[in-house]
Amino acid sequence: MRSRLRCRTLAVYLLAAALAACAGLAGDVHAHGEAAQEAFLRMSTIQWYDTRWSASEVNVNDEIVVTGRFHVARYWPFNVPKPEMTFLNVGVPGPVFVRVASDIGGVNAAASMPLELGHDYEYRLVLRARKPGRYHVHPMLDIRDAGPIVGPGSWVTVNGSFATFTDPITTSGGVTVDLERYGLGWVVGWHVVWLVLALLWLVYWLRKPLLIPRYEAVVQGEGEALITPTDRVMGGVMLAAASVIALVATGMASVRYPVTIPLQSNQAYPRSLRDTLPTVNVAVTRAEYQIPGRTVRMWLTVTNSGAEPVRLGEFTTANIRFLNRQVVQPESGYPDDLLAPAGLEVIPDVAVEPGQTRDLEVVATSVAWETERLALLIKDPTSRIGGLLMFFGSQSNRRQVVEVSSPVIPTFRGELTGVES
Amino acid sequence: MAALPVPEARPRGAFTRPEDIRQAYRQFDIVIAALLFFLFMALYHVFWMLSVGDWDFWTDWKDRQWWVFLTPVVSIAMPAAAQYIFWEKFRLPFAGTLLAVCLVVATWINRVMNMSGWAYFPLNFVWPVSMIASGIALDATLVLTRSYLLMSIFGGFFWALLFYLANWPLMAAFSLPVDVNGVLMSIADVQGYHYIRTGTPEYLRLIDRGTLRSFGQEPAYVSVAVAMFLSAVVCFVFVMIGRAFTKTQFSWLKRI
Amino acid sequence: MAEVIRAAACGSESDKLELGRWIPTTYIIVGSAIVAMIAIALRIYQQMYAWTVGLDATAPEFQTYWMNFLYAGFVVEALAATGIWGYLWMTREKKIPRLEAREELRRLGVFTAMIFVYVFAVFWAASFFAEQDASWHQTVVRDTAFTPSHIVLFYMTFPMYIILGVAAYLYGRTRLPRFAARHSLPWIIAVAGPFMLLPVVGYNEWAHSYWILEERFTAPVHWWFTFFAWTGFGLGGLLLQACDYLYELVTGKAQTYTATGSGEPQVDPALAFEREVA
Repeated sequence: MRSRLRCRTLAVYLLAAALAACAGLAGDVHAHGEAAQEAFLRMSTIQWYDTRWSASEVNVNDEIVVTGRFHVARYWPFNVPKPEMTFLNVGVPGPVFVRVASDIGGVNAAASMPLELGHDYEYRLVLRARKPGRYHVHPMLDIRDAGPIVGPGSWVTVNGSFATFTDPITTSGGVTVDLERYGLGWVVGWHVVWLVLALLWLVYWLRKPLLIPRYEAVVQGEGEALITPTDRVMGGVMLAAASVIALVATGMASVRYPVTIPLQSNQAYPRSLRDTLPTVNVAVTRAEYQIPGRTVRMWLTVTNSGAEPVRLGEFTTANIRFLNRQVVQPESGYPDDLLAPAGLEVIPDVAVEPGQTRDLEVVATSVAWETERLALLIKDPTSRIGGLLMFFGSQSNRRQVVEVSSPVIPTFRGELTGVES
Repeated sequence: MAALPVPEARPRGAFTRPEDIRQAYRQFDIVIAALLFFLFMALYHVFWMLSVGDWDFWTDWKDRQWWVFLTPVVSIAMPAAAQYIFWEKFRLPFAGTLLAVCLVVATWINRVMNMSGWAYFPLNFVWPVSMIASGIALDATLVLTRSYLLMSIFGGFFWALLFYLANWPLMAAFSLPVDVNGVLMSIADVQGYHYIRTGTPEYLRLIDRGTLRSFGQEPAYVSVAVAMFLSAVVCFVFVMIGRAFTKTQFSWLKRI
Repeated sequence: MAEVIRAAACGSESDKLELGRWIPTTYIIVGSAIVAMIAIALRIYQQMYAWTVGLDATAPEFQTYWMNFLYAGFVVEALAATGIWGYLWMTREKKIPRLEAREELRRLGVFTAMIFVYVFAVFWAASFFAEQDASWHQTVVRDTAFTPSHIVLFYMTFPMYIILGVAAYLYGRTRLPRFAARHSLPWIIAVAGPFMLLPVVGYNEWAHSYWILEERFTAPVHWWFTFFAWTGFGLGGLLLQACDYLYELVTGKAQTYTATGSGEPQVDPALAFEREVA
């Protein structure tokens, strides 16, 4: 008996310790599962560029701003639902940040929005740090029926204490509340009231012999005698009590919250970027990628209809940036694991003169091709590459962003040498 | 007509003293009561979460159309079936309240330990509803009318009506208007906007988007009215499902 | 659990039967405590490793902490199933003897205790870890079928209750005359139905991989889960059979039904066939 009691006590202590250990076990958090999405999907739908994070280390309650642009592919895959309803979201592991503002083209992105194929949009996300830790922060777009398309991620460290986080908002009635804690007491209080009422009813029945005696009476045809007049009165009282309490709750709510609005289902229409039409036209003659390897090759026919010579400076696809170091220097802050600062070789690496059409061979090499699992393109049912080419004016340095899309063929050779990866 | 002879089950029973027999039955009561508590926490909760769970998980899903309508209509099914079993064989009118208590305990455990304890959502964003008022009404109408049909009709009506009256006050606190960067949102909408859910974009919500023509009135009342009617229908249908389960009492198979 | 099984294999009477306490509550508490400790340990593992190394299925750490964890779970489950079911089967009486009412009641008590532990395990799977799945999948980007919540829910807690349910079924089949002579349909439903939730997982993952790319719980793809959840109501039919059985064992009299519907017997049909095996 004593050993049994000791066993039970030990079990209780273990349970309590385990429950206590459940809380507060947190540490570094790592990247998300964007690399598991099919390669063709990531390369041919939403192309993110110019992504910037305003800070890499903040304290709880501080803000960071993520800005950038994205291009909606003109050559959207036919087997992926079109972006007729999208939502600008944030790729973080749950509410470790709070989103306080967002917009696409200056239009409030709290709403869902349709996007147009072939257009570019500028976005902004303002996040307030909520929970200490180290997080990979991505912009992302949710596309109805297609799922999420995740942008590049950068590490942000949040210092401080979770307990100090507050999220003040002010209602239209001028009352400021802490969204983190508001209203919980009201909700829990009513739950307690209902639970007490329920226990009264349940205990009323459970205190009597419950099963076999009643069962025997019923099967022997004496079931009706089991329900006494007191039981029926009790039932009437409980029904009245439940009704009255519900009405009182409704009345109290009407007095306490006199002006309420329904859940809002805003839709908005974002403004796309209206840059000057590009004066560079690109046709892809052929595209290949190596297995095993980290290299993509494209043969392009480039026509320059502009007034100044242009040079190819960057190729970006699925958040990876291949830069031609002769033309573009990387800005600081872009994640190193997605950047090949000298990963783009252009053959011949010369400007395309105004009015000229030139054939270029483009070789893009980066270990990111493997780490981001784009080499698994061979397992996709659509072998197609997409991305953005960025041409820079030789005199004005004006950038022109041109989308490319092409079937892509795997070739089974060894890696090229002489190109920095 | 002479009565059929009743065979003896055993030469003698396990107990002879009435107090031992009572004790044996009472132990069965207690163990089965505890078992039923866990059983309905499992069955009702999993049925609930996969049918109306989304509206229950988040404040920014608790709208005037689908939450108010679907929650009572769908959730009356299991209490109705259980009610038949317990009333028909035991004359116990407590299935509505029992299942409602099991549900509210199971959902609160989850919201505290998982939604808040694991995923760090604040509890005021993920609070569950209480079906207890509805459950008490279902039980009370049964014990007062002693009729499955009348329980379905009046109990079903009260089930849906009291669901709204008991839970709307909770949601009212989160329905205050807020100006967020030039756009009107309710506090619940702001919670959904602030507390990032990567897997749950705004458009995913199945909420009233103005498809309920309200003619300047409160649309929730229309939802409640149709919920009252359909709850009664669903209740009666699932009372029959409960009946089907009780019929298996005499089903013993030689081969499976 | 070993204690439950060992006691089930022995034929000794308990002093507690003298006092009308025929259900071994110690077995219920110990069995439930073991299930609870396993579930809590799983929950703690998730707390430690889900947000840290569970978000990116392509990362090597995910293989280490989650896929290896999954494979280890398979091994443990296979051993537990073989061990528990094998023990129950190998220690059965080749022919169930004619039992004294007290001994049969004692066995019914062990059977009830095993069903209790089974239902307790179903609670952890179908309630606690099932809704937890929403807090993961509605919060993160799904990138594999083997997410930290799925590994624990589908591939650990589901097998746990399946093992316990089949163990309880085997116990009844090998130790109780009427359950040995016939299969109880409601009991079969209550064991096979929740078991079927595991194959439904395959359908769920297929759907989520191919066309259900957004995470609503209220989606037709999930309706098979709710369908098989209803099979737990088979325990209602089993409860009625247990009431008849308990009455007969306690009093020695046959259960008769004066107020019956059409097509229903007037005497407990189990009395006719339970003597076939004992």
